[in-house]
Amino acid sequence: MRTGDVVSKILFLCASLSAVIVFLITAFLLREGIKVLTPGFLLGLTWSPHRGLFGIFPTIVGTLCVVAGAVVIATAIGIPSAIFLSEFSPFWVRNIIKSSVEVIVGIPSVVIGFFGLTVLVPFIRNQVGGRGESILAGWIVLAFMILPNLITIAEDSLRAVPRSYREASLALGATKWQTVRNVVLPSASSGIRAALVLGVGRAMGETMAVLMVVGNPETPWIPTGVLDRVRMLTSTIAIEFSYAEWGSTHQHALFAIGVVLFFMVTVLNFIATFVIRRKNIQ
Amino acid sequence: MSDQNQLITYAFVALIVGAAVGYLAAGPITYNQKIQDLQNQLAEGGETELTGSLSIAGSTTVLPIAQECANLFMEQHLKVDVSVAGGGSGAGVKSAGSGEVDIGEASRNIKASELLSYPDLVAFSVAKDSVAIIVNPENSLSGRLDLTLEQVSEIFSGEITNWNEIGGPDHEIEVYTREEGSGTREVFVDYAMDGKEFAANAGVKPSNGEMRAAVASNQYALAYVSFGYIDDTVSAASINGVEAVVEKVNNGQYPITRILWMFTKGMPYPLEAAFIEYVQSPEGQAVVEDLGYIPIY
Repeated sequence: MRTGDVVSKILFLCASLSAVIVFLITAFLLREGIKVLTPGFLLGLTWSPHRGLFGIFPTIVGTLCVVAGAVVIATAIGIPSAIFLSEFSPFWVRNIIKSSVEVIVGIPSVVIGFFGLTVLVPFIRNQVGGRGESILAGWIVLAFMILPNLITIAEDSLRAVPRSYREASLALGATKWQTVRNVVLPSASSGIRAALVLGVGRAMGETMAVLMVVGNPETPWIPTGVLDRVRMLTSTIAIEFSYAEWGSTHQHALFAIGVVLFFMVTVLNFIATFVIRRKNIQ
Repeated sequence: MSDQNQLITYAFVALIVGAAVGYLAAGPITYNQKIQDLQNQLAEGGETELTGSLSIAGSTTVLPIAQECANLFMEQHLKVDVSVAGGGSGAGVKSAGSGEVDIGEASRNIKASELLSYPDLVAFSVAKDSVAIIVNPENSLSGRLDLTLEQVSEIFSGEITNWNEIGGPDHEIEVYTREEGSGTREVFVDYAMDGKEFAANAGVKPSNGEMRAAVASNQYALAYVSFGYIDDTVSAASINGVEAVVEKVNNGQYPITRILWMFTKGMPYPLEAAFIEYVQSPEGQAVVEDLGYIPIY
């Protein structure tokens, strides 16, 4: 009993550590960023630190554009992949595809960014137009990065649908495809939605790879086409932080961007948790 | 009883043999010998051996100099470990001033506001440098691009946007600039921008290396980098008819010039002083020249 007490205390300490760290990070971000976190900051149209202009609205819009497009592309490829792997694929094909998908997870994001910069960007410049560095390049790079997790989570939730559901449907005379569409997909839909939300969160927080391909204009504007160049919230912090003077408004503004980013990703995670929980209640 | 006696005998013999072998191997050591050694060292101008580790961070312009000098310095002082990182001029001043690193680097002068935050910074000039405007070697103007300072400010501020306005092909000039706070950017603004703002659509690259890479891969790009980053992959433009070469900076014809700095917090410790002296020595300045920068003397 006494050993049990000690062990449970140690376990509690470990568990509370991460909660404490999250709390400290939040408190620190807020303390550093709160001064500049005003409506003028969130809705301002011009980001130009040396002129004292800190408006991140175009950056927020740019981030959302890149993330939304990347998630759409990843969904269009990822969900059919997951359905194939879970429902139609022979065992050995599934093994090969699954392990290659897992390899993608292991590629450092800077390597993917490097690939994007040296292969994708020149390709877009020569074949599509513009400078190459563009929202489009960001879409492709980010979609590639969130695809593996999307496939894995979506496939897991498809496979979690009990076998008896499928058997019941087939026994009623439904074809394989009818079973998938009318029985398996609806049962797994909350898991798939959660996979999408997590993908959005991941895409929003991704820094290195997108930084290298989206172009980061000097003064970002609200994009009007897929070949426009944008700034991401993350890349603005990454590019400017080391040069920002310590204690300056510029630095506080970068912390405030961190707060905005943190808030957006946290909200998405809450939505994901909510979606998953609703599934369990059902 | 007899076992114990035997053991003591063995131990005694081993001790004597060991001492004898040790004595023969080490040679007779006396204080006279040590004094002699020290005198010899002093006569050769040698010092007591340097040991320890040094951390250096800051401007990506000064980085290649610090890196190459660190390599040579470590070859000469085997017990010294020097680690060199980038981060930018602002970070160089900040991290040296706050004691995060031993030596900071900057490619611009210290600002008044920084001196207020870190009043005990001591600065050492380690090289001179300039900023060159670079184009892709495949650009039709490559090798003969000659701009006035006024044109430079007009291009980078977005008033001139097409290559055909300066005698090139009919295509957008794809302008790149450095991020806010970069020393290279600040020097470029001071000398070339004439109070104008950079064009909103200029692409921001966070280091000299990435500026060069952007130009090297795109024949319509235009950017500016430290002289130390000019190589075969890019072509430097003339300004006011003056080629962007070290000699023209030295004789004052090329219009942009700056000093590259290293900083310590307070007077440097012996190891910091030894490294900075090495960079400033003829050997270190040969490295500076090799890398395409300008020696300080």
